[in-house]
Formats: sequence, structure tokens, C-alpha cells
Amino acid sequence: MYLYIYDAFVQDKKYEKELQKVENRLTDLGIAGKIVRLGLFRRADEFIRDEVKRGGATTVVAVGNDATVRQVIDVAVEAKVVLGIIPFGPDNRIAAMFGVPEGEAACDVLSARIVETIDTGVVNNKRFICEVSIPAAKAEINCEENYKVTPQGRGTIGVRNLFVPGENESGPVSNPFDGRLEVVINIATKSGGWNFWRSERGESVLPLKSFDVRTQEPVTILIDGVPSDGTRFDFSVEPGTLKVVTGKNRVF
Amino acid sequence: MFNRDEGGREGGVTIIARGVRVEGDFTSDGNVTIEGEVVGSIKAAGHLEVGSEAKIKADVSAGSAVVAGDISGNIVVTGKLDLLENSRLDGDVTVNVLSVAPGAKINGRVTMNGKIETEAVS
Repeated sequence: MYLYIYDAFVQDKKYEKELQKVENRLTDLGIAGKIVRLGLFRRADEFIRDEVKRGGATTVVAVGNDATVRQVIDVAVEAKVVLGIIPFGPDNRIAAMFGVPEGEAACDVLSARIVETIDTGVVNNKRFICEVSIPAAKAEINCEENYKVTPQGRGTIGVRNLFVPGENESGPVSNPFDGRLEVVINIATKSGGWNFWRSERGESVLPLKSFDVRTQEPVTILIDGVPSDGTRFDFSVEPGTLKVVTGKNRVF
Repeated sequence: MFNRDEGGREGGVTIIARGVRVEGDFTSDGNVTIEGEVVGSIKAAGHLEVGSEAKIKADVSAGSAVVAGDISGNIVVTGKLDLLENSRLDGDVTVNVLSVAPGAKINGRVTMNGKIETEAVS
């Protein structure tokens, strides 16, 4: 059975027509299911756990954006159900990586049901699919208790599980099947030569399984686009733990 | 896009760029490029590249290596070691195949095929 989790913003009037089209298409395809509408005080994980306990839900579909998916990942992994996405609105990077088009067209991808099993990253007991961004700060990375990596300056750190660089992004492609997270450190270093003030960007890449990042001052990190505060972030990877419905335009 | 069969077995490429310092026992299952600073030890199962601005104070072991910067420590390479023209090695070298460019400096003993072949001082 399909369980559809509607994010609160999807219930806005501006999405009403598009949502109606989606619901009609799901009915035509024979994959309509139970709908849960999230609100300010309604958590997705409780509903999903209840439905799985009853033996009903085998596929959970996040109807919304990356933030909606973020609310569903943990319970989808724990309950071993398949995760689908019907993207609405802005901030839909995860859906784009999965090759799922926006709105009504996503229903056909869901119906075709190409399921892949990918790794998930974990930061402070919260799972993520694509990337955690840590803003420029004085930081150190302790790697598998064997060695310490220290950027000699304020560097941004990206921790990536599934990542293909976009137009204004750099770094390697991150493979969600390799059982590792790529840590990408970008810092500006002063170059020598004729222009003293010119700086160059040095990009370090470390494929790791478990490590922690500690910052000297509190920072706000983005976990698949969702903010979280702290000074210590413990990372690990859970290989092959998340089943996802993907489209033919997926990047992996 | 991704190779699922080999994805889990490969260590991936590690790059330690300028402006990054590594302290401790660094290990990698794959290839490693170092342009920054390393203190401790380095074990790379694959190919190791040490850039011209790299500063390494560590014992190093690698499958093969190309060195353009400075290494202070003993180095063991199971395959070929290329020392480029401005490289400097302060430590003993154990290697199967060695290539030394003019201008490269070795301060230490060189052992090839398990036997000490020469003792070189720059």
C-alpha cells in the first residue's frame, strides 16, 4: 500500500490545482493510497510507524520538497519501506538527483517503480541523502580515530553521499553505492607571485566511513538543506539502507 | 553513472590540498594526492602523488609514487618511485623500481629488491 505524506505548504491554495491533477493521475494508475496531511504539530514519523505496524504501508511517498523528504528518511530506513517523491515547489534537489520530475509527471515514475537501494549518511543520528554543508569556520576533522585533518584557515566543508556538482559547484561526483562519504574542504589560500592579495581555492577530498567535525564556534549546518546548530557533528554512513523509487533521468 | 560492483571495493581518490594539515596515521585504500602538510605516517594502497609544495614529515608506504615535494621520513614503494627534479627525500628508500631526475635529492639509504644497492647523500 502507498502512504502519501503531504507537507503543510503543499496544502496551500496555489498548489490546489496541481495537487488535484496528481491525485487524479494516481487514481488512474491504480496507486492511490492513504493520505497524511502534515501540519504544525503533526510529525510524519509517528503516522508512518503506525501504518507500517498495521501492516499497511510498503511505500511512503513524500509530497513536497527536500525538507519533506528529510522528515521521512529516518522512519523509511527503520521501517524498511520504499521511499518515493512527488516534488512540489522550490528546493527539490533530492528529487532531481532521483530523476523524478515535478508534479503530475512524478506519478508515472512512481508507477514504473524502478527501485534502487542506496547508502544513507548519518549526522548526529539524523540521516541524509545528498549533502551536509558546514559554513566557513575554524574546524577540525577527526577521522576514524587515526588522524586529524585541520584546514589552515576558515574553510567550508561539504559532506556528500549522493552528489553531482551543478553549474556553480565544484568537487567530485559522490557515489551512493560505495559505502563512503566524501568530505570536500574548500579553503582560500594566499598565492605567491605578483599579486599578494590574490587567493586561490584549494579543494581537499577525503572518502571516509566515520568521522567527526568540531568547530570552535557554534555554526548552522544544512542537512539536505535543513538547518541544524552545533559545534560537534558525528558522521557515519549506513551502506545500502534506503530503497528509493527513481526515474530514468536519475544521476546514479 | 556509478559502478555499483566496484564502488564498495575502491577506496576512492584522496586529495590533501594546499592549506590543509593532516596529523596522525593516515591510510587510504585508493590513490592519494598531497599538496598540503602531513605529519605522522602515510599508507596508500594505490598511487601516491606528492606535489611540489607538499611538506611531509612521515614514514610513507605506497603502491607507486611520484614525488615533486619534500619528504622527511622513510619511504617504502612496492612498485615504481619517481623522484622529480626539485624533490627532496630525507630518509631511507625501499623500492622495486626507482627513477631519479637530475636535481632530485636523496639523503638516506636506497634498498632495491630487498637488497641495499647504494647509499646516497646529496
